[in-house]
Amino acid sequence: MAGESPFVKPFQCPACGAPQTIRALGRTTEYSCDRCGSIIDITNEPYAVLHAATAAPAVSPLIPLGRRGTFDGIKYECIGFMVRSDPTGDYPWHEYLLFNPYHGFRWLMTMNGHWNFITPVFEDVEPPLDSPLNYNGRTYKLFLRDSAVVRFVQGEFYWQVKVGDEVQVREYIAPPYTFSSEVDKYERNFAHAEYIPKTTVERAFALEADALPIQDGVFPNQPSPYPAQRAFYVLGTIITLIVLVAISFLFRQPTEPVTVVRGSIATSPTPLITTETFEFTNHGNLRFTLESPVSNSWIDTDIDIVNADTGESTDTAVGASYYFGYEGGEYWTEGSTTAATIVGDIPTGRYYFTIQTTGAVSASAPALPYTVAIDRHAAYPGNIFVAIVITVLPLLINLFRGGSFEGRRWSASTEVSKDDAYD
Amino acid sequence: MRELVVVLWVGVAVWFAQATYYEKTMLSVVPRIFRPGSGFQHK
Repeated sequence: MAGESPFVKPFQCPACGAPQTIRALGRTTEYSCDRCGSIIDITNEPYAVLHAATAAPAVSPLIPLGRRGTFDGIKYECIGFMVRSDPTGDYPWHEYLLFNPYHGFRWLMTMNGHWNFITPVFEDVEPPLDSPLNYNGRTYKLFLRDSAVVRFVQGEFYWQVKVGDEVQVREYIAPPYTFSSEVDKYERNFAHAEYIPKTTVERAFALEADALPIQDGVFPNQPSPYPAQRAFYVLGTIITLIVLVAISFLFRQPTEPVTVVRGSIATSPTPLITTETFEFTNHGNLRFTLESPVSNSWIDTDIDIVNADTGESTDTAVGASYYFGYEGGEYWTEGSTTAATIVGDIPTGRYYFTIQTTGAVSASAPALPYTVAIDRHAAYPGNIFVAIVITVLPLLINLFRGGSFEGRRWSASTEVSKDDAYD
Repeated sequence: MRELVVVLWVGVAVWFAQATYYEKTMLSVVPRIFRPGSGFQHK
């Protein structure tokens, strides 16, 4: 498309006299002056003004008319610029008409920083009124039924267009693709669009990096990044869970009884009981299980774990309470006659235990018996529970963000609820 | 991001192996004592 191209012809705007250039001569029928905005019929000379501009152009294209850009190895020239919106005017978008003499017309559409590369469809397609549309082996969901109104035009176009033109639009999506139909009383047109990153547009037209606005929100056919990441999260979660289970089996030691302390409580607190000394030859935890036939009463045991060689001690406590009654026509119970506590990470060494018990006793009541069973290497599910929660967290976040992404996508739809959209 | 998640998974496995080997406890059982008139008390 050099300067001597048969498709290029300079002329003067018949309305304002500004120099203009037709870039798809013979393929386009209408031209909008970039100086005054008048619409000019360029099908036959002398060119005539179809619609005189009433105000100076207020919108500047992000891609200058005449700029060439390459998509999929094909060089196109930007020859037209159009602003359209919904009937309210609240949701405008920009469209750029691209032209290549051998490949015809294409469109670039942008809204809220998102971009689509649009190819006209000349097949006779009958879009259904409801989802889904099957096209080229792909299923498209009906996303939008609305009107599109032309708000501004600049450059040249292959049909007669003017501000205020309105068409009925239907959009069907299969991210990253969109199939759309535009219908008015004269004709209907179909187009197939593919979502492209803004960096693709910047590179294609050799624009400066970050020359185009950043994306805002989720676009209808914007591909969600989360499903593609899911295989990684699922696989990683499964592998980690297998490793955790293997660790819990490999490192697990069988539970060993240490001793059982038996006593009874007649006065509170009881005298201090000191056990014999036990030698622990490996690391591990200690479980203290208190059992007492408490009945509408409670019992509490303070335990010191004392290193016989260093004198260092660790204290813990375990208590049991059991209450029952009849109230409001119903029997109720609360608590248990058994309770246990686990003290972890006890180093090797020689240890003895001191135990003192308190409880709800009275002089008239018989002494309340109790036992404190002490075990080593008790099963402790707390760590693996926490490990599993942390392990599955990234997958849960991925699922949540994927759902949130789809929710934001379909919040702009005129057709289906969010729940339907996930089907 | 993926690298961070891999580091998280490896870190969890290493921590869990250590906690299992040394039988460390994270969520200790807090005995609950019920005394009439005072409700549940955490000791």
